Amino acid sequence: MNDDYKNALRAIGVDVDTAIGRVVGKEDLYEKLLLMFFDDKSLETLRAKISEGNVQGAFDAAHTIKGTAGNLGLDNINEVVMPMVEILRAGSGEGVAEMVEQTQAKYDELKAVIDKYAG
Amino acid sequence: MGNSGYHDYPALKYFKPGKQFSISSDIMPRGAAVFAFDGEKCFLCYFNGLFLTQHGIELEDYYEIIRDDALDMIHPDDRSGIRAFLRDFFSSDSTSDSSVFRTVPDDDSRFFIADIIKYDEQVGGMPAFTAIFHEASPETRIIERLEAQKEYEIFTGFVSPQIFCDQIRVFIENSPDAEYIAGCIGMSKLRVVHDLFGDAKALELLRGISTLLHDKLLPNGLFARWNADTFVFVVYKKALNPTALLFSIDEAVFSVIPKYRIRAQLGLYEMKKEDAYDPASALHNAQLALHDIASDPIHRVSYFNDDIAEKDTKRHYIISEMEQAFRERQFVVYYQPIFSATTRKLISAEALVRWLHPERGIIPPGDFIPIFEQEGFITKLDVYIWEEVCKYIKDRQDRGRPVVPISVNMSRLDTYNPRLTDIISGLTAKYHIRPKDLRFEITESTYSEDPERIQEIVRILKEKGFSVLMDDFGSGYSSLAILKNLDIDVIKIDRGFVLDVTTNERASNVLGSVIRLTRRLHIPTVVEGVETKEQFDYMRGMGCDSIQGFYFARPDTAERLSEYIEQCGGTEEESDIKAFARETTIALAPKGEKKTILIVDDQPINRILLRTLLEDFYEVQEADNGKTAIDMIKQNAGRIDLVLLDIVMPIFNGFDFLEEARAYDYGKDIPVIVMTEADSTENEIMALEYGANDFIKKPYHNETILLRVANQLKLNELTERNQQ
Repeated sequence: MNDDYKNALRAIGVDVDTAIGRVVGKEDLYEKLLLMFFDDKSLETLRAKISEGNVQGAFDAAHTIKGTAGNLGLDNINEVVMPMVEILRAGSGEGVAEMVEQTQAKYDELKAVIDKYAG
Repeated sequence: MGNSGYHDYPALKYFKPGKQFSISSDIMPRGAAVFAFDGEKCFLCYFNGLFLTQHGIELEDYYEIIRDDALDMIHPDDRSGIRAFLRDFFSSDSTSDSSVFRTVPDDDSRFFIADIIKYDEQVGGMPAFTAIFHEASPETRIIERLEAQKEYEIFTGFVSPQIFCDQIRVFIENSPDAEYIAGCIGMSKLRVVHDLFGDAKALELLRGISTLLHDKLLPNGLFARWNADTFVFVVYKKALNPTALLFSIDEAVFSVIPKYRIRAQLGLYEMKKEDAYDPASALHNAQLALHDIASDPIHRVSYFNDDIAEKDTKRHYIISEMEQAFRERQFVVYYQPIFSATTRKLISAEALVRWLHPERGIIPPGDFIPIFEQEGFITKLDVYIWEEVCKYIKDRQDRGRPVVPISVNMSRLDTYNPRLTDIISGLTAKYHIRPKDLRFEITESTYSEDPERIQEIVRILKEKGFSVLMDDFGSGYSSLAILKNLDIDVIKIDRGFVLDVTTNERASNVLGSVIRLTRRLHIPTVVEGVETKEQFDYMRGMGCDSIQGFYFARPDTAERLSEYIEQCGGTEEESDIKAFARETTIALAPKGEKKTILIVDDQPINRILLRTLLEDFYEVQEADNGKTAIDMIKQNAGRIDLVLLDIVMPIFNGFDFLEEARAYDYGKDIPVIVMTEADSTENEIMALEYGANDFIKKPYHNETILLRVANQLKLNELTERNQQ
């Protein structure tokens, strides 16, 4: 993982250093995990549950995103997801659809960086 | 000289040497042979023609010799001695040696000197060596000659350098167009002869050599004894055969003291026209050439060249300028950070000296440290550096900035200073520095020189609260002794391993064992010289605790170190937790069998993260839902030692798992640690109610996981023991 890649991630708000510490310094592994993050279908599940009006289901999916993103230092994503989890936890769905789209935007931004450096 | 005149005889068929033996004596007029040695018998594998002649062997007899123990050729009285000599030689690290013996069983008077050199390859599964034989002249011959030449009775060749140089000038003036060579003959250990054999023998030896040089050199030049153990000469270049001269000297030495070997070496300088006016510097150059190989056990002849000249010039300016440089504070302390291999935090640094010369720029330490060591100046420099480091630490302390422990070098000579430990305590007291922030690096070679003295110094330093690091660990032959005898705080693995491990499987195995051993002894390791990512990954994978090297940071100024500390300084606490986890793991698995941990999480990323962290210490298994986890516990009845459990999972969540596991025989006592979100206190309480033993909040810290896992395992072990 070169410095340019790391700096680009830092620039969009990813806590690269903490995350690399968590994978005991294995930068290669961190790169792989970032790619794996996009294999996860939780964001799609979240969207589906919201359109079904299933708040508990939406909460579970958002919660999963929050956990994984937290572990990977994706503070940029959790900036949106964490407040969303709280709203869902309270049993509300207010403004959540919009937040899902903001999350999607954060995903896309991250994906662009990954594609540029790890593609 | 070619091979003409000598015949090479084939080795025995069953030895099947992989390639043609080649030995230097094929082109030298000496008997030579290759032998294999099985610890008891010697087998002749190869020999040249002169070997046969020298030992009076008929060609038709040689089949006898190659079939039997070649040691049968040696005089019976000398046989067991030679056998012991060979055993010592092969168990030692030296590549060459020599021995004296009588070869012919029925003749007491013929002595041979065998120069032996280890052969690179094994022969027939046995270690092998090349032996080059030369017959020692009967002692009587030289003594007779000495008596016949009474004029040399008192002559040992001593003249004053002034007179000798005048003689050379006159000599060269006689035929100014000839080419001349200046030489210097070094007789290492000549002084020992006085102690071992007495002055009479020593004088006899000097006379013997003088006589010899008189015979060999005088017709073509001049010679003189320069000091206790060197002779100098100037001769016509075409008249000198260096190898033959050394050979004659060997003979002369042997004839006087056959039991003790003095090695003569030859330094040579091909004189230029202008040197005729300055013979002293020509002789000096020859002497420099000699010094260049003085500690070299193999080379015996050295010609002066530009490299030698440059080394000497450097040495001169270094010695002449060091005091001034010291006064002018040209010696500057640079710091190379040391990073934790796991957290990548800066945890320490090594202080290294740089000489910032006003004209020559930065002089690398390799250029001046060895000279300072020889001159004794190093002790002054070391104390200066220790004090500079103390000042640096104090400055940070005063400004309320974090401090990391800094290691400084302790040279071999420092350890001879009887006031050493007082000086060190004096420094930390003067600057109000905690002893634990100053660490001393002692090299393995310093330890080897006098283990007991170093043990005592280490003991006192540690009593005073200082840490001691073993530097260059693995570079010498005392590594195991160090681990056994020395209460060392940190091991610094020699950079040689870093260069080798990725390509040399053997080095990698050795390093792996060393690291396992140090772990068991709870001694952390630092590896030096890590320059590439590949090396870093490798070393971390091997389990090295911390890393020093260009891959992270080069040695740099104090200001730069301060920046590093501000940016990524870590505390020792992290490594303490890791050490605790490691200790617990070792205590729980004394025979190396690891405890097994089951990770239950539906998210593959989370499982990988936990696995990566834990697999250094434990056997790791994974399940992606609670149901599978229950199945795995049933299948592995009694072999899962702990479960790390995620709560929110789509099918069969953490609570379902706990409920079912606790109802099952093998599942009811397994420690379960629940991973919960930081924000969900209700999950925590619920998990505990369902029978979880502990919980960890996400996002977690690696240390927390290691600590809590180790704690639970330990607790469970204690409970089980109590129940029994």
